Amino acid sequence: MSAAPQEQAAPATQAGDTVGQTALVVGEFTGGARRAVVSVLKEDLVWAGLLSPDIDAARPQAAPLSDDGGEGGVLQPWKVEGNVSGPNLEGRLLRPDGALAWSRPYQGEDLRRNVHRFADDVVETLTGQRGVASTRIVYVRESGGRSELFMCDYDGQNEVQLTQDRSINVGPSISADGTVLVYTGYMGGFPDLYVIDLEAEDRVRLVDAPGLTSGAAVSPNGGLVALAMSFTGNIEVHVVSLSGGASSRVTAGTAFSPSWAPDGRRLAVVYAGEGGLAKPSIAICGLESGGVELLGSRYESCLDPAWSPDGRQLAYTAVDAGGNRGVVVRDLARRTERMVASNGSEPAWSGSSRHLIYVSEGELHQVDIVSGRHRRIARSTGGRISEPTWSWRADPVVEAVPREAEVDS
Amino acid sequence: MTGLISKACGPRRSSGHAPVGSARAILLACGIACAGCVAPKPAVDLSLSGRMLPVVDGRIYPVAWRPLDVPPIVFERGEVSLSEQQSSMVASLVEDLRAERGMLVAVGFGRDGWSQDHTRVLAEARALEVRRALLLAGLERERVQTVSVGESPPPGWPSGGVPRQPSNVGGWVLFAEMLVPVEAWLAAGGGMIVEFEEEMEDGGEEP
Repeated sequence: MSAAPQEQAAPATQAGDTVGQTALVVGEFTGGARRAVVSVLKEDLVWAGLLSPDIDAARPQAAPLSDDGGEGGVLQPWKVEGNVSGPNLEGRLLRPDGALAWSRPYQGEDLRRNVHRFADDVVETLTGQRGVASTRIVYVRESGGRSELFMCDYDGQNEVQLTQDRSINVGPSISADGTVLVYTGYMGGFPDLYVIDLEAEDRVRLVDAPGLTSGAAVSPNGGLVALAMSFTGNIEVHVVSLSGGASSRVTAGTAFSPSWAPDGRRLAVVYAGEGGLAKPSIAICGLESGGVELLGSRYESCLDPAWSPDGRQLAYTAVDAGGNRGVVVRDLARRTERMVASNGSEPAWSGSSRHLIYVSEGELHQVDIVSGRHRRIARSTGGRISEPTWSWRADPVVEAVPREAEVDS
Repeated sequence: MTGLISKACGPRRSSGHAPVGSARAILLACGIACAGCVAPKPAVDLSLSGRMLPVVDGRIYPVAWRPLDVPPIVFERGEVSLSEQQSSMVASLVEDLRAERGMLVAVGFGRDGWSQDHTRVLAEARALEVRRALLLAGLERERVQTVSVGESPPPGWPSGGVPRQPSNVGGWVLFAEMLVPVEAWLAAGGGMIVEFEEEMEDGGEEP
């Protein structure tokens, strides 16, 4: 689920190209903070799969043939360059023939985020799919018996504490557009469902039902929340509107940890039998049909499902017979499972369906499932991390910065 | 499909929860691990999981609990997995409880979950199973509360300090693993007691 592109340029490469097969170089940047800008930009482009971390990015590199390519299997690369002035960045993308594709200003108080936006624009032009560098991640930090919600950039930088309730706040889920956050909070003494409007910085309590309220997930269109509640005497998944009103029960038998399909018509849930004590496994529930399909797995237990934005994959925590955990990606069409992060759990997708964040040993990690590259993006210093959630699109506030100097090709 | 009122309300509003038809309800958490408590151990181990009780910093903490002030709908669904011996113990307990005042608290633990959400759900599932067993044994459902206990203490339920003392202690604390009389828990010197905000008569309105 990426934002609609504001311009339509023919993608130079296809999303999903492996690292090292792209035709892009980082050219010259001028200005005081140019080294920092280049460092951040390279990292963003590497994680987008457009730049190899193993070569000198100042030199052209071999690349596969494409519609925009040259001859003989070696392409002249696209090039990014720019000027840095304080926190502002003038970013340019040049075509392989040296012609200017576009030039855009990135203004705002945070130079790092300006670079992320530049990187996302480059990714969108070259792949046709919006980059994820401007997205945000929310997670739980637990310290001293309390747990609060924190938010950071996609690379772990600019961490801010969202809640300071001296309470227990768990199970956050951020909306696809990054504007709404739901979570279970105990600050009233009970596990209630709260909604935070991240733009208005406003918070309301949406559900205060008896029993457990846990594992809320915002629907792709941002209008509904699926969550597990136990007020009926069983733990079942219900759907409620973000504007309030009656809930609808989706599952029969113990189910929890719902994740929305991008079409908003199905949910992946964890199903644990009638009593809730059976081996947990993943099931797909149709909201309209009411049908339930249990997904088989070679693992002993499967939890924390996360449906990819492209609808093709499910990531989940898999537990083998020996009790070993890991993050598995399931191809829904081929019915195959692939371990992508041993010792990881609680995965969440980026909007590109290429990256996952996950928790390991109380720290937050990220994996590019195409290249297999991992990186740690947040340490447990300041509290163990759990239950990350990732917005699929960029912060709309940041995106609202005008692009007066934009030059379309 | 079933319905439940969910509502948007102002931030930081007090919970205002109160049980229907109960004079007082109590919830206890032992100050030490139950195995070391001076409370008498039950004649029959009601363990559903065979696991140790969760202890955080030497204390047991209830994390999630709530009076079930909405008439339950589907408690009878599913089978209770207590053994015949355990069920007999529960039936005997119910008879005893009918002479007691106050509420019963069914506590479930879920420290052994495979993820955060699973831990919470497992705790709730166990508490509900105990509750279901009590209801099937004939205890009035409005007298049974559930508590889910995870690894973290709840807000406002301090790890230290002087617990509030109840004016009418009665009934039992029912854990998934064992039964302990309330008085014994108090005599053990630890624990925390939570009282509902107001005394209510049957059929009363919530404040």
